[in-house]
Amino acid sequence: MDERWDNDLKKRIKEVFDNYEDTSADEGWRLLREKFPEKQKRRIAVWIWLGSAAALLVLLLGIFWLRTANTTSQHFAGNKVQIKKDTNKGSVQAIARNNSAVDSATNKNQKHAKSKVIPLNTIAKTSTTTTTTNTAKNVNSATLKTETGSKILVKPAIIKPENNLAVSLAAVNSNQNRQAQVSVAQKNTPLSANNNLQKPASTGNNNIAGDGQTDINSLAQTNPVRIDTGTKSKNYLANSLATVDMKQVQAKKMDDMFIKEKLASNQKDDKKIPSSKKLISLGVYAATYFNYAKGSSNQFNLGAGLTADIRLNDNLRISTGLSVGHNSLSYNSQAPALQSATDGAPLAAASFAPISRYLYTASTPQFKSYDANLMGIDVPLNIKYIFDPGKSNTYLLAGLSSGTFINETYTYSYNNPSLYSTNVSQVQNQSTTNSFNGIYIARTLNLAFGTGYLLGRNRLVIEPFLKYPLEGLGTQQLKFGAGGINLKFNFETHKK
Amino acid sequence: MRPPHRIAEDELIRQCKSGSLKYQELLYKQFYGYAMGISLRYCQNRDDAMEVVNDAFIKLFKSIESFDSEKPFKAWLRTIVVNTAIDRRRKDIKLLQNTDLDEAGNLTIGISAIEDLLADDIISMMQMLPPIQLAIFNLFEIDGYNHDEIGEMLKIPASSSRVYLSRAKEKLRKVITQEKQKHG
Repeated sequence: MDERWDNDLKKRIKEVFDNYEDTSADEGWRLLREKFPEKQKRRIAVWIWLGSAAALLVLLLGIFWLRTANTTSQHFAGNKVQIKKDTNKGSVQAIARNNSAVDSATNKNQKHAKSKVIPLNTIAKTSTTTTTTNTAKNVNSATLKTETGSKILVKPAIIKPENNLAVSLAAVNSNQNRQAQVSVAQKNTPLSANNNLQKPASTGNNNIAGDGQTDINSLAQTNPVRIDTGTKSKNYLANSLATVDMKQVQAKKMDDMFIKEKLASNQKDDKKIPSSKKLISLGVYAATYFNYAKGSSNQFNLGAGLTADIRLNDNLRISTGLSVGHNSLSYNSQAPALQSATDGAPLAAASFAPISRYLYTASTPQFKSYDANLMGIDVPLNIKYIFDPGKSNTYLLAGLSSGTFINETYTYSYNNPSLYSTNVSQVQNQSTTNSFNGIYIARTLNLAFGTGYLLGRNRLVIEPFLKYPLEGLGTQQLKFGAGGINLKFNFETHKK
Repeated sequence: MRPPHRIAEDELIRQCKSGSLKYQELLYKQFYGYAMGISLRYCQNRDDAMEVVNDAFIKLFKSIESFDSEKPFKAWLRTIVVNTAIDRRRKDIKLLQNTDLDEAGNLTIGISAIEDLLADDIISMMQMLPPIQLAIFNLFEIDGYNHDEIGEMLKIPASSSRVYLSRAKEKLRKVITQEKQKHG
């Protein structure tokens, strides 16, 4: 009897469900589409993120390059340049390198225009006054082309003696609001805006050669130079003149003042060299932060770890380390979203929550809460950009974190009502624990801003940070992040 | 809702293998009812069943290139849906396997009552079973798995599967009988 009954029931169930019709296919497809193209979207998001990271990196490198260039320029091109512009003609030849003021007034008939001294960051290493001849054949070191009557202020740019690089000097000011360009070069090209200037590294002096002859030698690095060009002869102007003006006593005094400052500054810089040249800087830190995740209340947590900054150059560091931190999440209103259907077994209580109108509710357990506690090891790999190395320790940091979890505990609670009475229920807890259950690679984006303060020989750094989850973490693939403050203590180590 | 024009199964599968989203949608809607019919038997509620169906179709679309067109598509879809449902409910099954109904009485039910059962009646009736008994009843009686396969799927001994099945049938008899008595 029972067997027959069972067979009939089985037959009826098959009959009903093999031909089951459902009207919610459109809604189902809409829900599926929210998940199904997810990977494609994620790929796009990853590419966007990588593109942004690359753009940021290029930008940082560009800033670094410019800053390095300016620093180098200040070291090598420490001169005051003064250029007197002929009031009538448009060509001006300028040269700027000596301990004394240089005046290129060579023609008695020349009328000199107003001149202006532009102090540059210089260090006078010698006080030798070097003169130069007025002949165009001898001096052709610098050429400036301008319009008539303009006054030009010239500031030297980068000079790298080892590379014999041509240096372009930009005309900044002009009485007639016109711009000119000056090029100082090693080899003579009269009336050209692109000459070359060579500065031998071994001597620290600048040799300015014209047509293979050196007429101005051992020009020091730090003097105001005033160059007047005459108007009488185009040829004369074309070959350029640079002479020493011994009358610039006042300018020299001013220059001396700058020299003192510069020397003091350099001595200060020299003292800083060991710290700025450190290859690896180690530190320890403690972190206080809040974990956040969709559906979870924010949880306050603590962590601690070691950091190591590897110097790439003055501005950039690779920052890595190892930390141990506690992460906790608490879902009281709903269970966390699952990354995939098969990952959700421990979270199955979530499926008890909404009860369809089609079904009985009596035996359905009701979701109450879900807690996750994770003790994790975090290994970040960040790039750090220091804004003004040596003077401050303010920086931006971005990168990715990898790691694993030492311990993962997931606990969910639910009310398990009695079958026939909804008033009687029993709270049950179910916990699962895992340890070192896999390693996640680059699943968290790190962003931080830090500023440091000297504390004896060491440095105390306050670093607000944000960790943004790129993918789910742990066995339950929970997508959670953290935001808080690191308190770092960086030790001094020296380059080996 | 049934698609206005049913397309040949082979054509749908062929287009889905080429990655056509349009044909994936057509395939989904054409077999949605069938998949829901399976899923509803295993799940606690309708929303859960729909999620199982969607996860099953996602798996299906991802692996459809490896599908042998010579084999029946419905059987393949059924396997995927059943596995997805079991995976999803594995935790409940393990957790609540000790939950039990009251002992069934010795009431019997007339054959005509079973023939009157509709889909919603059957779903409601089956939902009163503990998850493990529900799963085993479906796997064995409806979807044709044997006890060894069930034991492997649910990580329980085959003998336990037999016991749970026996209990499930007994309780279904009791529930149907009670319902029949309740509604005259």
